[in-house]
Amino acid sequence: MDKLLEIKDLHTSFFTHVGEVKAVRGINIDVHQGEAVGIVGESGCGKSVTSLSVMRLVPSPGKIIKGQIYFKGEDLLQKSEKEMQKIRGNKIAMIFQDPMTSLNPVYTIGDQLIEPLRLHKNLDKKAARREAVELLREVRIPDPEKRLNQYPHEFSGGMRQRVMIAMALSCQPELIIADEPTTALDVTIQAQILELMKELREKFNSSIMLITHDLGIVADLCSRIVVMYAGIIVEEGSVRDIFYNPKHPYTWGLLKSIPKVNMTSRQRLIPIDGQPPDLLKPPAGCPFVPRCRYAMRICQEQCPGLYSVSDDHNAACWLLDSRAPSVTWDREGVSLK
Amino acid sequence: MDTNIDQALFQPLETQTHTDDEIVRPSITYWQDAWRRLKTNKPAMISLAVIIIIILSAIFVPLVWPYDYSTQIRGHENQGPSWEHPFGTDSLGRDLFIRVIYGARISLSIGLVASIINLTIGVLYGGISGYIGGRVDDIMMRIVDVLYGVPLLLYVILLQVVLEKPIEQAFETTFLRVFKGVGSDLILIYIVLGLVYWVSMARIVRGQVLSLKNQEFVLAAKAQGASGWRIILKHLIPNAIGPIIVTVTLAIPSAIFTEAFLSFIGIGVSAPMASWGTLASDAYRGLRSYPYLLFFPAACICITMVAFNLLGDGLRDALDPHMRK
Amino acid sequence: MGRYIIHRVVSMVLTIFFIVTITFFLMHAIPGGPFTREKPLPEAIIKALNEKYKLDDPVWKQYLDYWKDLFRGDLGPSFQLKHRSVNELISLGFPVTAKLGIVAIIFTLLLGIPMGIISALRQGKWEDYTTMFIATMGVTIPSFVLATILIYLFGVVWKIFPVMSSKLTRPIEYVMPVVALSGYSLSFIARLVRSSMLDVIQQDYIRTARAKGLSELKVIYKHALKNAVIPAVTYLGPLTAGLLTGSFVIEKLFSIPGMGGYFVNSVSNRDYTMIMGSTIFYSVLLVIMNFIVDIVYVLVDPRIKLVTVKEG
Repeated sequence: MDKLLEIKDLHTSFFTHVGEVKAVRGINIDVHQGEAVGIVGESGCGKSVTSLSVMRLVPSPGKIIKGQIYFKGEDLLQKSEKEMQKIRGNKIAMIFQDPMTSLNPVYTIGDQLIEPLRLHKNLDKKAARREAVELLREVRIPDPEKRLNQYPHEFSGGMRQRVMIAMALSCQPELIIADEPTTALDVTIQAQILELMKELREKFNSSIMLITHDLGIVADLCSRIVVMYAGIIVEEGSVRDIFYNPKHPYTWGLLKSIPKVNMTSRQRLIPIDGQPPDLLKPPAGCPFVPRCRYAMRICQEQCPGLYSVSDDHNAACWLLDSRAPSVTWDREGVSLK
Repeated sequence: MDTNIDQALFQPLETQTHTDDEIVRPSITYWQDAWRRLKTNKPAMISLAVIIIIILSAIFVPLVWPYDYSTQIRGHENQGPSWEHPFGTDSLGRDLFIRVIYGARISLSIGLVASIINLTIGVLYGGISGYIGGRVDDIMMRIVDVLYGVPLLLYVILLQVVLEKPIEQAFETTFLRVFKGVGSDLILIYIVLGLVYWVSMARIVRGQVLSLKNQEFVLAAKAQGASGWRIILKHLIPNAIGPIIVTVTLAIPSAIFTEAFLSFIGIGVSAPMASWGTLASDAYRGLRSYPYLLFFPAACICITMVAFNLLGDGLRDALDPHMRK
Repeated sequence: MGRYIIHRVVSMVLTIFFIVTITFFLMHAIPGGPFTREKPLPEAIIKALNEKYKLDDPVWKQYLDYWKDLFRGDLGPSFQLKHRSVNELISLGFPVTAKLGIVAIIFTLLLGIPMGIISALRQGKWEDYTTMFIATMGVTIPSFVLATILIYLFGVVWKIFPVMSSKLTRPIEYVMPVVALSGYSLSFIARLVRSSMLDVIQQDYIRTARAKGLSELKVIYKHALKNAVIPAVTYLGPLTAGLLTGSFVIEKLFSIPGMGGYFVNSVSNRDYTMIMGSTIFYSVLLVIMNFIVDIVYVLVDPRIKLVTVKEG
């Protein structure tokens, strides 16, 4: 499988008036053709900034300060703004989190849908409109011809997100970046949107980079998971690897805090105590130390590199070093040997 | 894999210092916090200083200055600025500097009194409207909306004309004779300006009363007793007073402006008393030859207005917890 | 939409009714009547005048008569200028004021909106600081002070522009009065558009537009601009009112024979019918202007369309 996207050693920081906030501190992510990769982590871990970095839409005062982002072999960070504009919405498309605010309220849906079509595919107005109607049909919006002339405020949240998806798909992009696409929606609508995304991915064979804090969604849609924390990658692997054989204490914490369907009322949700570190002064060692029950002295001094657990499964944790005490994880509890 | 790492480092960390979010800053009251914020706003602080200087001058300078505002010094007509007369003299030989200082008294008092009258009417109207609520509130606010659409300045002018005589008479005949020294025309302006511009104050007060009401009900539901009341009052009242203070501060330059405007049209305070507006208006005729006669009063108007506006903006930023960038 | 219009029309009519009534009763509250200001006239003449102008009738009758005349468009005779009617005076003065006013509005919008936009796009840079400095000055310096400064610098000292703009026939005569008149509103609009634009640029839909690959130019001038300028539309009403009241002073200072001048004179001379007629004329004008602005606002902002949201 070809590598569609290769993020290499990406560093992105925000230069605020209180100092440099290091949001992304050296990550590597690969997305292959036709693959769906989920990037998981809590708010502030850098996952959104990563996705914006790929699109080169990091808002000021943010800047990408180091790294390469190869898309089909070409480094996006070397391209001019004009070249990027040809790629955005065309080869790489993005779906954002809040559908209520992501559409321009003073233009019709049709107007906004047609824009990328006319821009990237050079269609004339009539042809573009016809395409737009088809797209709306594709995302299951009833009565598409009529809807095309309506304004965003006349659509519900779920429908607006469908429109966003339609807009993203309009030029058949090779990569779709979806940043928390269902977070702002009702649970029932969430399920619908996810179903839609699955269908469309199969139909159009696009690759997906899904950003979310919800492990449940990731399991549904993706084949690989990347876990981020405080600007670095702490674990990555297939969905099976992560769910059945996680190796990083943070991942354990995430999995333990998911409510399960067959939980008895006696079992409690176990949140992870503490707060993520201040990225203004990121720690020299592993950022998870303050919240990690198994932290060792080495953890505080040096940040671990990625240790290989198996093919394609890596975790950045000193516990995986041969010199560390072995720790196994089972769903009910963790035992230290 | 770094094999130089000491095996000992793979021991568990002894002290797990859970540094939870500590509240680092000591808690300070709302007013102290607001004052602290205001202090960082340089333009606002400079404006505050300027205003204080002007007020102090208006009060104390006439006590020490050798000239009076109506003293005409023969032989000193139309002089430019000099050591004896820092602002020069006018066509009747009156010292401009002291006239400007007296003008400060008048203009500032107009600004203050008119704003207070605005405040009173606005608080009453808005307070009642918000408190009673329902249809009464609806109707009262409709009236306010209608008033917004009317060119109020026209009515200021009209009222001036209409109330002129009655006020004069009231002054002659009733107990208000005491205030005669102030001048009935001045009182007229106080009243007229106060009567007309209460509308925006009413809106703000009503808004505050409405939000206060909601919190009161919550309080009643909890039925906490005295301690609950005190806490709420300590928070609610400052919150409500904040926008009111800002509005009054911003209303003052508005009133000063309106008065100057009226003077320019010819319906202001009458001679020999002079507000900055009348001074400027009188000086206009001699603009070619004696520009300083216009410059000093006009500069005072501008500086005072700018100062109050900057101070009002600063107060708004300082008192409003949701600060905008 | 129809319902909204009807609603506004009713509101407009009520306001006008309110205005006429208040003005009428205010005028009639002035003690002494319209003829006592002048040098004392012989009793007989006062009596004859009162009869002629029906000032002896009970107030309510005069009130009704006034309405009758209003419907015929007759604002009555001028009490001061014996041979002219109020209508005549207004028709003489208003066109002049209107010319000045329209130029002022165009100037305000044409300069103010771009100022605001440039300031916002170049936030923190010299363009921003300069335009905002000018705008702050414009908002805090009263129009008549600005006018006198302009007259002094450009009319007396440097003699570039004429000090008296009597007939407004030559374009150069427009310059100073228009600048003095528009100073405040221009600055207000610039600040308004600037803050509105700064707000809009932060919005999510701008990010979406960029993510679609639109050029920055298109993002700003298609997506951001419309949203940013809409709040300025609401200001058009107070803008007109401000220009109108500003005209009183500006016309006096520049010796322009517009309606503002007539109005001010009628106030000084206590010409009651003229005062009343002018007040009503101005007020009705403004009310109609506000009405038009409200309708325009609903047309321009699709969110205000009174349509139900379909669920699903």
